[in-house]
Amino acid sequence: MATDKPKLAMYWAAACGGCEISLANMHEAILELDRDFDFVFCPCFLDTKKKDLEAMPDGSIRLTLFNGSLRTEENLEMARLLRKKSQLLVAFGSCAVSGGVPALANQRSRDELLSRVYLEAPGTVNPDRLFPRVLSQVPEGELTLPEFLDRIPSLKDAVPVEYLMPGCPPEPERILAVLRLVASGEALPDPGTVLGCSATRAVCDECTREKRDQAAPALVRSSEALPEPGWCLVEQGVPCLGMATKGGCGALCPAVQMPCSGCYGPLDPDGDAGGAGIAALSGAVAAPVDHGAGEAQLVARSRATVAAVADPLGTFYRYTLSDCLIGERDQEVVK
Amino acid sequence: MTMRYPRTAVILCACSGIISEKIDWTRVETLLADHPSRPLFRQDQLACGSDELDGLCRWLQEVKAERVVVAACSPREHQATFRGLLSRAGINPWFLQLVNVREQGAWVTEDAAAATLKATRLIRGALERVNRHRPLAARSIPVHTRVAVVGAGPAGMQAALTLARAGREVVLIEKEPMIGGLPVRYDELFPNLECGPCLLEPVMGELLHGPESEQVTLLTLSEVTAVKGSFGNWILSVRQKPRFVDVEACIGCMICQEVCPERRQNGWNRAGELAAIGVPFAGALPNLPHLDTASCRKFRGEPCEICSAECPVEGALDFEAQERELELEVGAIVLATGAEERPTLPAGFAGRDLMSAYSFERLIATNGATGGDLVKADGSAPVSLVLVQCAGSLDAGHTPYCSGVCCREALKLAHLAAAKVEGLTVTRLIKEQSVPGLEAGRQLHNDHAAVVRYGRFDALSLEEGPAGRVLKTGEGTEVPADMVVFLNPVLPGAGTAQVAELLELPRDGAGFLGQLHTLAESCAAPLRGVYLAGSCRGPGDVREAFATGTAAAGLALSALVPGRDLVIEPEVATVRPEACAGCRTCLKLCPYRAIEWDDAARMARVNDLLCRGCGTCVAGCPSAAIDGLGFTRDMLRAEIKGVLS
Repeated sequence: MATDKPKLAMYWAAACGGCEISLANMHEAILELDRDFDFVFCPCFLDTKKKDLEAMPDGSIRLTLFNGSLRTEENLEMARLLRKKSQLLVAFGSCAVSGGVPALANQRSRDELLSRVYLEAPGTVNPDRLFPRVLSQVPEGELTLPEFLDRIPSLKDAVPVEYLMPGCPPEPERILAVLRLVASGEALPDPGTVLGCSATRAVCDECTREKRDQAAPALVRSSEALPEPGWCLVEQGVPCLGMATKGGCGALCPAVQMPCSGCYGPLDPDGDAGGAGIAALSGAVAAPVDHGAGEAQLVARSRATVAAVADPLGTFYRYTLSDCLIGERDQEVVK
Repeated sequence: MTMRYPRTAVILCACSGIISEKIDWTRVETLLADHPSRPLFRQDQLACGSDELDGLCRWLQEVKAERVVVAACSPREHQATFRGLLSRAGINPWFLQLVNVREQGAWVTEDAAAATLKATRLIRGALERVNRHRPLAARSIPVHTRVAVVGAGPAGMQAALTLARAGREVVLIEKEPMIGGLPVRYDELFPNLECGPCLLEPVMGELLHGPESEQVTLLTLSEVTAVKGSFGNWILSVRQKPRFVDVEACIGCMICQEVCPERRQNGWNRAGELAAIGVPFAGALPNLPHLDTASCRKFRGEPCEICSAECPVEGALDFEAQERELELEVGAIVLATGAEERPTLPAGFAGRDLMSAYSFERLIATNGATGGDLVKADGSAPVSLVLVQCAGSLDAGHTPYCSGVCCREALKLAHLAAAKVEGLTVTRLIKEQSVPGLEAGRQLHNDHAAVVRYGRFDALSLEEGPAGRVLKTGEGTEVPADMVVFLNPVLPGAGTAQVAELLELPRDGAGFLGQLHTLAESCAAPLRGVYLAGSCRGPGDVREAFATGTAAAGLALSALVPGRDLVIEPEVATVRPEACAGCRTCLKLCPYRAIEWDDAARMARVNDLLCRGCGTCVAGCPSAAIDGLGFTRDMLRAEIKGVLS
């Protein structure tokens, strides 16, 4: 049924589905979506197909919320197609903004990844060493699979993007705010900026946990600690990245005893999320009162402190490996 | 969007050939000619020369330069020169970017072509950076020129006197009732057996009633309890305990001490007794008695006012005196809180006539408990004496370092003891021996004590033998030990720990106060406006105390000059209020305590009087909420991009 309402699309690339759940979590406000938009494409919720999308005129979709990482050639193809069809393409969720969890694989080569998944992973039995192939000949004809990309780029590095909406996932309130803003026809902020979130300070600004100006004796994993409610997690040794992470979420995780894992990304748009995260913990651990410790002692102590972070990459770069200074391993150097 | 580049002048210095023998400036000009800022070049033989500077000044004015890049030597060498040049040319001095093509180019890059390309890249970075510079200006604020000196030992007294001689007002704060520190209690000082009180009395006299004493406010029985503010404008809270004696009225006759019926232990002598009112030893200055409320009968509720009744001066005793809280405004603080000896015995060691070197010094002092007689607790003279050196030093279980002064003290004590008791057998037990210097070497040469080397301090033991008591080393050597004196390591005094806490000063492995630089700036604390004198810096002798007292005073004098305002460098860190979430990471990181928490605004604030622009907080702020003026992220990124493009 043709309408003159602005068209809305939502797409998941390599994604977990959490972003769609967040949209559904708008509850009755979803009726507002239906009132103000013509929801034309969303594989999770709607039955429209890629061919329907291709049939639409270029630029006919007012707003596309693109979530998930660009893991395969298909993801990339959909990104290009939606780019063409959309007036406003939004990198929606941390995967689209800066790679997300799937981009942690950027630290490994394509061959290493495939070999790990199809040969070495516990429980894998593959005596014929079969790998997925782009093209397979079977008696019934040709079967194709999308190509597995060498690395996951952020959406904005693959196609031009108007806005970013970080979050894992972006909260329903923020989705609603963006839908209302676009539906209202009001002036939109400068392209390239974050949409729906005006916070200029870190998560700590919204966090109600109390600072006591204490340093923890050591870092602890959140699974090992039962932090005292109401008291800053970092001061209790839990590596919370709230101080290194853009706010706007309402400090949801620390409110329920979970350390901030950094899904809104760093505050400095050109900065390095992991570097900021490490800086956040730089004053967290109390230096023992052993003035004048030797260099070897200091090195050993720093190592022991850092060793408490079991997975540094996953802790400090959980959402940002497509979009940070350290990037990925230089495959040439690795070879 | 194309950016408008300001008109940028680029001065290419040959450094009289030192730079130009490697770097081809004409080639650099060609390579940079198409830079979008359209730089205006000028090659110079020696840009820092005074004639050249005149020419450069005229040129900058002629070309109406808005930004200036100078490709020459290290900013340490001539940044101030070229900032001055910009000032003269009417350009804000912070519109300069100095590119170090000498130390980082011509001197280190072998190949001339490579050096030329390197210089080109560095200048390209500077061109991108300098157009982002913002005008900055040094600020100036008035300062207090009064100086507080904490601790009235030789170092503190010397600092106070040096400052007073320069006409400065000084507040000298001492926690004891008397001044002079430790050496005033030593009869003789190494290496030349000079009389300690004789050396120090003129100094103390000058402080108390010399021509400069007008400048000095002496606060005895006083301790610093809080410190606020910063260099030039400190506010010290000082608590002064009552002496119960009117310092103006008292004539120092000490009749009160003679008539006082009460006795207490003399902690200063670590032996003998002392009246509840009086001085701990003859010659203590200021010559004023001090009443100890813990032992005084009147303060224990008994009807005793004998001292007051016998005092020849009406009203000199004031039992109603109260503790005073003072607030002092000063521009600089000299810490001379000293060191102390902490008596330590080997594990499981017990017995008669065992003492530390300080107790021994007081025992043999003519104004000590025995009037200078070297006697044992039973009143008889010892037949043998062991001086245990390195007593707890060079020992992982006790104190790892060598105090560097005890060997010379042991040599002195051995000499003095032998002179006091005829036929005394003296043994020096050593782990290592450190006796530097010509005079001390002479002392060592004249030493007649037997010397025995030992290994572990805690392996020492005492045994009663047929010929009297012996001290046995872990190696099995036995030495006659009728009396044993331990030369324990020199440790920071309790006052040193206290001021370090108040000022949040770093301390070294032993707890001594950290220095701005251990070689070049050893009399300055890392906190601006705090200077260090004497053995709060580390174990030292009287000579060092006087020298560092003079040095610390000199630093305070040169930092705070009357009529000269404090110039505050503008390249400080600044917190962007809209970005600070109040995580307080920077407060922990700042080595200069320059960041304060503003509880009302819920954000960190940089005190630009204290900030030295080191950039630690800029790099450390997890929220990127702090910018270093003159070194913003934007500037640094532009510079890096320029270098790499």
